[in-house]
Amino acid sequence: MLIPCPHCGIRPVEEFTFLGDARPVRPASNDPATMDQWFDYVYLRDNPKGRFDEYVHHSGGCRAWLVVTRDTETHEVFGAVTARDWAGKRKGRRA
Amino acid sequence: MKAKPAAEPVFPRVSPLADVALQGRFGADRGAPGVEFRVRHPLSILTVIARKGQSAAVADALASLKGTTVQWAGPDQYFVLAEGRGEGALYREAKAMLDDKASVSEQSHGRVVIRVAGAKARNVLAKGTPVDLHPDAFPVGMSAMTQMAHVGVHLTRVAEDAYDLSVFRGFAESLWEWITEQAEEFGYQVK
Amino acid sequence: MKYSVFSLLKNAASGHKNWTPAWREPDPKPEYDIVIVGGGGHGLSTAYYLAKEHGLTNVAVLEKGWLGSGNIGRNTTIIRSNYLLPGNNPFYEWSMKLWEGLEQDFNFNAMVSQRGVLNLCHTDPQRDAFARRGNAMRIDGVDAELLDREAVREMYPFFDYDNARFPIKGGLLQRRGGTVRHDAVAWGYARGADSRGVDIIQRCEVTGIRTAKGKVVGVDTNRGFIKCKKLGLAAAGNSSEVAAMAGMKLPIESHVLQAFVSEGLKPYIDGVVTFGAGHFYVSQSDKGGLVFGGDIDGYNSYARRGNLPMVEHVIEAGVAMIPSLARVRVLRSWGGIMDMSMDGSPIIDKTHIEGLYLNAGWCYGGFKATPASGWCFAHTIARNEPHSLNAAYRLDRFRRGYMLDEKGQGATPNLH
Repeated sequence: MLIPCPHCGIRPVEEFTFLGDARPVRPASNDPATMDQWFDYVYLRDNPKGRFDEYVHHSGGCRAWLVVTRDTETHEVFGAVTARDWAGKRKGRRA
Repeated sequence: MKAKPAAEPVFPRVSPLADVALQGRFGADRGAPGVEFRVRHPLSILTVIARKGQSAAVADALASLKGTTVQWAGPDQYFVLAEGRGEGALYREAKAMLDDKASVSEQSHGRVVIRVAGAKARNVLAKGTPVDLHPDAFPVGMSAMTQMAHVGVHLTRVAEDAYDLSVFRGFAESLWEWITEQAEEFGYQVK
Repeated sequence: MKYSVFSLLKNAASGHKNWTPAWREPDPKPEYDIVIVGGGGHGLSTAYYLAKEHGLTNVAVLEKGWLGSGNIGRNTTIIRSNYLLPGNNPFYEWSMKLWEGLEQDFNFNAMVSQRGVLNLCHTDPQRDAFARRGNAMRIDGVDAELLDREAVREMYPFFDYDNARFPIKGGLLQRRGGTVRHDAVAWGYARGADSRGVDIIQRCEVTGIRTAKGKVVGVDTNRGFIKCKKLGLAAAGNSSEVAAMAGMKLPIESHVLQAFVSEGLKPYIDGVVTFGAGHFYVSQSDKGGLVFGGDIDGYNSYARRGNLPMVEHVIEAGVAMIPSLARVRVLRSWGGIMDMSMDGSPIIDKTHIEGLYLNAGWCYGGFKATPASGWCFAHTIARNEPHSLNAAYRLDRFRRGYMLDEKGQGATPNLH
C-alpha cells in the first residue's frame, strides 16, 4: 500500500500508523443522557467492505495526522488529506 | 540585594558516535571510496514549530538568522543548524527572536547529523529510504522525514552528491552500523 | 460409514476406490428449524453439537464458498487454554477438554497433538505476569508450569538466550496445549453433523435476513429464500456485513492477519513456542514446515492478503528468538480476515431480534475455541439462553462496562 501524504508525497505503508474509522463523530455533550451516542462512538463500527475513511498517523515521516480514503477489500488507496482539512470539510458539511 | 541567579550549567556536547565512527578506509578497497561519512560534530541544532497562523512570519524570521541552515521538518516545523556556535547561543538567539511566534527547542545534544557524500551516496541511501532521490524529485536543499532500518531519519540533500542524515542520538549507533554495512560494497571513508 | 482399521483394510483391498463421500451435497429445503450462516469451524461445530447434544437435526449450515474455506483452513493450528481472566479460562479449558476427546467423539482423525505451548518471558516483570497467569490457570484447573531459563534451554537449546535486547528469562508452559490438523476439524465436524441429518449447503451465500415483528423468519440466499425459526450467525471476518442485513452494527472491525510456512525441515521445534517481546509464534507441522505468524497488519481489511512490513516484522521477531531461522526459506504466506472485537474477546449471545443469535469477535484466537464455541453456541440457540461458560461473552457487555480485556488495551481493535 502506498499512501500519498499531503506533506511528504507518496510513501509506503510501513511509515504509517493506523488508528481506524474516521467517520464516527465524538458526541459534544458529557450529559449521561447521551450515553447511547457515546456507546455508539466508542464501540460500534460500520466496518465497511469497500470504501473507507480512516485516521492515519504519518509516524515515520512528517508526524501529521491524515485521513486516508482506501478500499478495504482491494487495498486501493484513493487519496489522503490532513486531519485538519478533513475536520474543516466535515464541519462545513454539517453546517 | 537580590542574589545573583545561578549560572545555567553547561554540558559539553558529546557525540554519540565518538567511539563508533572510527576514521579510516573500510569495505571494498579498490579505487576511490564510493562513499564518505563524516559526523558533523559539534553542531547546534534547534527544532522550531510555528504557532497557529504564524507560519509565514516564522519562515521570514528564520531566513534572517545569520550563519544558519534552515531545513523543513514537517508542516510548519524546521530544523535550524549552525556550526561553530557556543553552547546554547543559537537557542537563546532564536528563542529571543521567535518567542511569540514559535516553540523553539534545543536539540544539539539530542540529535546527531551524519554527512554522507560521494558518487555512491545515493545508492547507499536508496537501500533504506522510500524517498525518491532523483535530483528532479529531491533537489539540493530539500528535506524529507523518513525511516531507514526502522530508525526515524531526517534527510536533506546538501549538494548534488551529498546528504545530511539527522537522527536521535539513541538510534545513532544502530543507524551507523546499518548504513556503513550498506556502503561496504562501494568502499567507504570515515572522516 | 464408520472409520476404523477394518474399513481401512477393506478399502485398501479395493484400491481405495469405494470410499463414500464424508458428507452429502443436499439442495436447500424451503424451511429449517435452525439455519447457521457460515460453514467454517464454528458453524460446523455448532451444527454438530445442536444435533448431538440437543437432538436438533432439522438444521442447515449455509456456506458461501466451500466447506472450511475461511479461517479454519488458514490458521496456525494452535490450541491452548492459558488465559488470565475468569470469564475466559473456564471456556477455553472446556474447549481443551473437548479437543482431548474429539477424535473419539466424531470418529475422525484430527491429529490432535498435545505437544505443549511455551510462552517465553524476557524480563523479570514479564515473569511475574506469567506467574500470575499460571496461578490463575491453576485456580481454574488448567495445567501450567513456570519454567526457569535452564529448563527452557533444556527443551530448546538453540534459542538466543543472551540476546542483548530480549534475553530469555524463562517461560510459562502448558503441556496440554499443542496443535490440531485444522482442515480435519472442519471435515470431522461436517461429517458428524451430516450423518446426524444436518444439511451442509455449500456455495450458498446469504444476501438478506428477513424479520417480522422483531422475529427472524428466514434468509434470502443466492439459492432462494430459506425459512427458519432460529438463525445463528458464525461468519467470522464477515460478521459485520451479515449482521448489517439484520440492521445491526457490531463492536467489531475486520483486520487482516498473515501466516507463514517455511520449506520442510527435519524435526526441529517439537512444541509450540511464542516470543514474549514481540508477537511471534511457531510450531513445526508433520510435513516439516515451520508454521508461524505474528500480529495483524493493523488496518481495516477484507483482503485476504497483507503487506510486506508485517512480513518483515514477524520474521525479525522470529530471528531475534531463534537466530538459525535466518537461514530458513519461507515457502508460502497468506492472509485471513479476523473479526477483531473491541475488547479482544468473543461474543456468543442472543440478540435483540428474537431467534437471531450471534457468534463473532474471535479476533485471531478462534481456532482453539472451535469445539467450545460450537458447543456453547448450540446451547445458546437450543435453550435460548447462554450457558454459564459463555455468560461473559454477552453482546451488551460493552454498553454495561463488563469488558473482557485480556490485554488491557481498551476499545482499540487493532491492538488486541
